[in-house]
Amino acid sequence: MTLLAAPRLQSGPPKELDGRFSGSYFAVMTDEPEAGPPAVSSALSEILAMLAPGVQQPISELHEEVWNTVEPEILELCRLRIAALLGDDGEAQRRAPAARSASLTEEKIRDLRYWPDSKRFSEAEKACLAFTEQFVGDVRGITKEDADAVLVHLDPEAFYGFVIALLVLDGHQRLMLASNRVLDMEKDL
Amino acid sequence: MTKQRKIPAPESGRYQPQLGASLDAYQDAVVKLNNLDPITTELVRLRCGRQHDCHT
Repeated sequence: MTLLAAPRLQSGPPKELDGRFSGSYFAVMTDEPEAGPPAVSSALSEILAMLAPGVQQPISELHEEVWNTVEPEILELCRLRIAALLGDDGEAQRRAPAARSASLTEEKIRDLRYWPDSKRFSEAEKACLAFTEQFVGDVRGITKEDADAVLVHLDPEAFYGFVIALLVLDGHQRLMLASNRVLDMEKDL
Repeated sequence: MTKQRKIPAPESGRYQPQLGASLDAYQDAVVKLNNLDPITTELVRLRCGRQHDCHT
């Protein structure tokens, strides 16, 4: 499978998706320690505290708002897909508690690399994943047709929130990967 | 280059105002960082704008 080739999707029946969600991303998963840290990873939070403390609170609030805006199961699928595309193993191990509570299973997550052919994924999820892959691989190359494939399932306001969410999640992972690389290089000097 | 609108403009205000406000606050905080000199910061901003096809 070509990872970055966004397939042209067959449009399924429109699916209503709520624009906002009341469940907090920061839910404590005491019985599932693998559920992972909250939206901004603790590692990135520590780096920001050290190098850019003024950004720490705004980025935390932004991530919280993202998870309150976009349907968490779709967002978690896209976050994990971004992690796979960028080779971000740390982010791939994290799980969003808000998505867990929306019944996203590990079986489905394991199927994520096969999403174009897997029956576990809805047409809305496939449209969002295809858009995500295009966003990560070549954001400048996104076409109106790419957007229209998602707009079959999301209204314009929800779509806008989804795109901002991709920007935020993609940025988090790239910032973490770059920080790791730079800080590792400093240690090696 | 002509940009092609992907979604219709909102009838009033902006889409996702709460999320937009959080994004604005984050970007404001980033711009206020002084670890990097202003010229390099602007070069990075323009490079990101080009990468994202953002014409600001």
